[in-house]
Amino acid sequence: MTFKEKPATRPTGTQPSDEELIARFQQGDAYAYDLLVKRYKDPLMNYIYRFVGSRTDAEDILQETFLRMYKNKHYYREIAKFSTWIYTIAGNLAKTELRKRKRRHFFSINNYMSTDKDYELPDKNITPDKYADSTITDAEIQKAIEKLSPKFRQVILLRDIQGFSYEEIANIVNIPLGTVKSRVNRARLRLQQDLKKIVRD
Amino acid sequence: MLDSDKAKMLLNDYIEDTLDPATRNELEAFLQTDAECRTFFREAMDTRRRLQSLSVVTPSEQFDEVLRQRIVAYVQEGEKTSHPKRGVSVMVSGGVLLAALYMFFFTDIGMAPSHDEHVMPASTISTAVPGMKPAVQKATTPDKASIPKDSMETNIRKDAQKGIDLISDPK
Repeated sequence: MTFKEKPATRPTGTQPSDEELIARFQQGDAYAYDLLVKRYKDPLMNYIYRFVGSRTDAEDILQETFLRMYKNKHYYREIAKFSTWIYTIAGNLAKTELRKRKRRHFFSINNYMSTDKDYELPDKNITPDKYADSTITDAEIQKAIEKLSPKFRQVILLRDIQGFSYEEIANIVNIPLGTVKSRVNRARLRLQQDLKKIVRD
Repeated sequence: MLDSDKAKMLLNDYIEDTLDPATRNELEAFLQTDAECRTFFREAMDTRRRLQSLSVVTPSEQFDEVLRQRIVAYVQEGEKTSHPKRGVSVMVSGGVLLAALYMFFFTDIGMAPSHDEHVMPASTISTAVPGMKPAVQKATTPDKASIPKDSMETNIRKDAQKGIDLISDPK
């Protein structure tokens, strides 16, 4: 009854690890940089796109993420995993983009309505089969994700789509482990409610 | 004994398969008896499944090329910013060198000191002007009559007659 967790991008077999590649890049090996870009561009694009909800913005942020990785390669220290570092950069840039948008649209009814309430009891009129069999498009799921506030959106994307462990998420977002668990739980409940509304409508 | 609220507290661990076997068995047994809770759990599982099966969004085909151009621009920008500094230092040191050469060739700097006969030794120079006597300053003592009287003298005398003592400290 459990889901198979989506594997995160990890080196397999004889492939060099991310940490080995960044170390090589720090010593001037540009090929190692190319390999890291190749390894991370798809999962990062997916993460950023789900975070900001716009393909164009996501691609710009992804460009900026890799450019920062190039400029600030010497700031990386091997005490942290490379994936944690690069996802932290991307997440911070995505949050900055959302803050810019918030400034542009200072007040929006839609955002106001998406405050993080605790879950409500499920509607008994919708049968589980109806919910499970219903066709919810990607766009509708994306819309439900975007209704979450950024702090909840980020953790659920990292956990359920990117497949990071709670410890890794705590490092990426820089919050305590307990807070990560609580946010993931609340975000799931909120999404569950919203997707159910979509099925009902 | 589990109830609906306690069961829902275990939802996350159940979804992520981190419950110990005994608790898991107990929870599954409870879900068989509680239809509302069972529905809730199935929906939660389904929500997660939907998230995990979302389509993967990839960058455009031009992504690599654009990134390469941005990196090249960054590297060139770095070189540009370092060149002016180098240019300025070269110009300054060149100017200093030219100035030094000019001063060496076209001024007396750098020439060997000349022992000209017309130059008078410093020891022979006298600061006294011949034939002049130095002025003598005399101290003068003023006449008693020219000293101005103390303006308070009269008042002090009058107060003494009245027995008023304004000068000494009061006891």
